Amino acid sequence: MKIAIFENERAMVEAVFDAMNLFHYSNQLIFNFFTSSQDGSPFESLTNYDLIFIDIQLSPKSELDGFNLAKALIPIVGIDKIAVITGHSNSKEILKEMGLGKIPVLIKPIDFNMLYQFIRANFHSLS
Amino acid sequence: MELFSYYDIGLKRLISFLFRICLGTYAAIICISQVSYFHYLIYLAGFVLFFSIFILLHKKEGWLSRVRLLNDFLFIGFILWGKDVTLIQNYAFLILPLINTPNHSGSKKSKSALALTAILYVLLAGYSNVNYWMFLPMIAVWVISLFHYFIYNLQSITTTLLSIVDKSEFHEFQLGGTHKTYDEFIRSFNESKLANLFELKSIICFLQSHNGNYRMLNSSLFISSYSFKLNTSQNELLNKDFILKNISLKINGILIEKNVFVKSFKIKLPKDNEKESNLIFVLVTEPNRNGILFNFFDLIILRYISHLLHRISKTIQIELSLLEIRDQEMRKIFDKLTYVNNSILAMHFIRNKLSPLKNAIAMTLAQNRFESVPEEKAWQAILLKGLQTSDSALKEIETKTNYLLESSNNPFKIEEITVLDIGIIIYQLRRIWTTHFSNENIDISLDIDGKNKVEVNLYALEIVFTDIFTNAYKHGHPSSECKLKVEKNDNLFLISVSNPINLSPSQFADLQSVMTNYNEQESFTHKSNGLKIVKDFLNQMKIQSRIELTKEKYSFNLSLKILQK
Repeated sequence: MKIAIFENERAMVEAVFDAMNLFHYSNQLIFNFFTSSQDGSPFESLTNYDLIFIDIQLSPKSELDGFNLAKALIPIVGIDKIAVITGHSNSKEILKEMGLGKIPVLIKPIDFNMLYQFIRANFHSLS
Repeated sequence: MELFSYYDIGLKRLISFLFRICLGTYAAIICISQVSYFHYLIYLAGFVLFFSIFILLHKKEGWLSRVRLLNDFLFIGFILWGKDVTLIQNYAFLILPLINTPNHSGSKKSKSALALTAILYVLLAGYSNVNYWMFLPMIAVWVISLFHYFIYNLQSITTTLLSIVDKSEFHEFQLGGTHKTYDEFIRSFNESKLANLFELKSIICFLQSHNGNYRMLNSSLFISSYSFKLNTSQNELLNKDFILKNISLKINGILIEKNVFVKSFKIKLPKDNEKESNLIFVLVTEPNRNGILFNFFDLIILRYISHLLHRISKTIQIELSLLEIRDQEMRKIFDKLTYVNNSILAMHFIRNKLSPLKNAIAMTLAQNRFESVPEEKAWQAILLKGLQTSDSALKEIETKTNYLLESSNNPFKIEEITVLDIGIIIYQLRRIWTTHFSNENIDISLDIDGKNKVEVNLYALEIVFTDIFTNAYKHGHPSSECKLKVEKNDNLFLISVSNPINLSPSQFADLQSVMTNYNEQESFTHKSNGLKIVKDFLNQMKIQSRIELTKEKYSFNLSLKILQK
């Protein structure tokens, strides 16, 4: 199973994903990190991923922020494969205002167990 | 204004009535004192007819009012018929209606009165006996009456315009809304009789700063662009109260030929450090009459208007000063908002950076669960990497927390302490107190002689008073009265707010705990945020404060050290 992670500060979450992979998935998951929206282009290539995590705050050089990246990806990969990971509490409200209230949101700080529980609760195919 | 015009009309009608009484009495004296031309019964019938027509037409306007005027002249002609019109008493009777000209509403009627007097004189004297010098007093009386009429109208419109200025200044003052006064000002002027001389199209106000630059402040019409230039001599003339007419002025790209630059008023704005700026009003006009006499009248009107604009300039000065204070306050609030915003961002930053540490703790708690050595080694490697990331993340968190905790960044930190007379503090106390409580419950037992000064930050002290009084009001017992006592004891300025209480044992115990915490701790740690700020501000100003509590009352006492001379 492949997971794409759009995250500005890879070091802050890499260990979380690695630990979850080892502990809960016996290293069966494959991760790819992207620091900006354009790193993931063409977006059609993201259809190969089973799950896409998007941080709201991407690299300052990113063409799209997390909200607009999610909006752009929905028609291509489908809303059911997208999750938002953020430190901002009001992200849920903003997603709702954008009509993207269905996207699950994981609020930082997180550990590997929280991440696993989040995936189990929201993405049944991966659990 | 409606009341004014009601009385104005009433007064005119009374004068009109008295004038006819005067006319009738004068006619009776002439009839009695001079040889009669007609039979006395005919004179009697003439009197009855004259007063009957007058009574019938007394309150009538329009063309019927002209019939009323004609009735006067027919009556005068009837009385003087066959008599010597050159006799002073008869001539005075003939020109009597001209004296009543100011009471006529309209210049046409006034002109008709002059024409009718002249015609009647010619008829009574006989064409061959006309003495042309007799027309001179007639015209002089008519001109004097016209001046009276002009002055009356000028006073009437001045009263109207003054009430408009008063209304905008005292009753409907709106920050940034002075320009709205111009519309009503223009409308009222153009509805007055003086608009027969010229019409007021618009009013524009310019501010000439102390360095000579002009900037438009407000106007009665929307202005996207403007240009004009005043040379040194014109500027000097304006400063000497002269009125400048028809300066080359372009508004919205259109040349405005008929304009009047009215006296520049000197104002002082706080930001200019007492340097004077000038206010210049530009009136765009449309003349309805031309000629030397009318220009003379125009100047008199403009002089009156300039006095009214002087009043408006005072309002503009207050408005500009208030706007400046508001801008300063907005900047202060913006600084605070920036701090709060930065604090929120810092919290989000910290939250982001805490993930490696949180994960490392979770990994530590979950270790030794692997059966194979390679898995255990891989786990340790991830944990070690996570700890290294946590270490650098913690350093970044530390930097952010330092920003938040650095007192110089805190906008709620009192930076300036000033020496103030206790009279100023009592004034503020009374002002804030009377927003909640009666003025009668203030007990001031000291003389305000300007000799007692304390060191405070007035802004912070206002926040403290507001919080104390608001809480006293909120928690005070409705049937009892809260009291404020201000006194001097040796070198201390004492302020005490006492509030009668009627609390249950548990409420009393809570309040006692608040009191103990407040009085005994250096920094207040109770849940009340208001008291925390009060204590913090008072500590920063080095003002001693204590809460006293008995079964009957709760009091908050402040003691400020009076500076020794």
